[in-house]
Amino acid sequence: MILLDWVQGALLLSGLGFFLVGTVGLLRFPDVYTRVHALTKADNLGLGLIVFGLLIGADSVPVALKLLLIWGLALIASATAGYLVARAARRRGVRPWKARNWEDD
Amino acid sequence: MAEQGKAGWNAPRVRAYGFRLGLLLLLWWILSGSTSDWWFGLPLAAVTAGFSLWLTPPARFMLRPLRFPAFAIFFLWQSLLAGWDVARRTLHPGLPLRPEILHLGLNLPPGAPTWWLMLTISLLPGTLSVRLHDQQILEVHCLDSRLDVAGSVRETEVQIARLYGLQAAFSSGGDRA
Amino acid sequence: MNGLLEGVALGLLVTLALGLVRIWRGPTVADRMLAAQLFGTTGVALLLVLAELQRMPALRDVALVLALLAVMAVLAFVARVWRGDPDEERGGDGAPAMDDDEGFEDPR
Repeated sequence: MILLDWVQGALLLSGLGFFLVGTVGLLRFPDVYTRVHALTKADNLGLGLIVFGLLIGADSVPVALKLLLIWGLALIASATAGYLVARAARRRGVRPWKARNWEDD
Repeated sequence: MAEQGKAGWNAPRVRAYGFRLGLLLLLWWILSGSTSDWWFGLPLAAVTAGFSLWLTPPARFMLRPLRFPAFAIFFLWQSLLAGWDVARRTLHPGLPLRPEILHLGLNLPPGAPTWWLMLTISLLPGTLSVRLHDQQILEVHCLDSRLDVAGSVRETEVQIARLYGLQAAFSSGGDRA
Repeated sequence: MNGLLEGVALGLLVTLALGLVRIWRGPTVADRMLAAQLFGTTGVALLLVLAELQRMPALRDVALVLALLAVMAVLAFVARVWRGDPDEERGGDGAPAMDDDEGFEDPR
């Protein structure tokens, strides 16, 4: 039981860590496209880790499945949203940011 | 659409009905929790499945539920890598990014398989679906052009083809635009 | 365990607050919309943690609805506010399917 508590704690805290990373990426990354990357990937992994952490404490099978369903929906939702935002930006002609020291290309 | 809805009960329709009914019953069980009122949920799911068949006729490509676990494992591992990759780049003081837009030819048939591919790609390490031209050429924004983006997109294609039982088309080598 | 859950909830609130900076700075409307997407995902996580912490299972249903609504917000934004060239909008490339339980099949 103690071991499970530790695993749960580690999952929840690393989930929180990825949420923080996603927000830092949203603030630090240079353009819309890279920010979509940071947000979708980091936040979805963060939510996934928190969901798996809470799964350990779930008291019934439907509750556990509901947690997984919520994660799945959030995954589809944010992948779709990220794609739509990136596509709209591309159609508007927002230029992707390029690294300045471009040696090999 | 309406004429298609009135078509007889052939094998694909029965299979699609069973599949959707199963999903709806699972959804009902999840949403209503321990107090499942099946006297209400069962007829509701049966009617809804029929209605959905009328609105959206069965597709050409059927998902193979038994292949889902393998895909889930691939997906979970890749999301871990993706989160780790993006975290490393975010927290690195030098912000190691080398973004580029690539155009990749797709081998999957248009429709649901291609949609799943585009959604999955956005959650893989360093790739993001931006646009789809003529259901054939996918524009991918990648965080680092030094990564093997084409390779990972192709691997995802193979995974999704397996999910739909389409891997025969993938036995030949890569002919990528 | 409750202390840890409280800490995680608090941390999630901090990430929400930090996301506000991106709304403040922009520069494009799409950047601000991304912050809204952040609110969606983080809000879902926060509600799930609170459901466990406060023993309120109903909050999980709220989280589920929020997950669905967050994408609706972005969809409405892209379709109405920030659409690109209207001619191209009629073009052939389709957006991914959004339905939840029927999403496995191809509407021909």
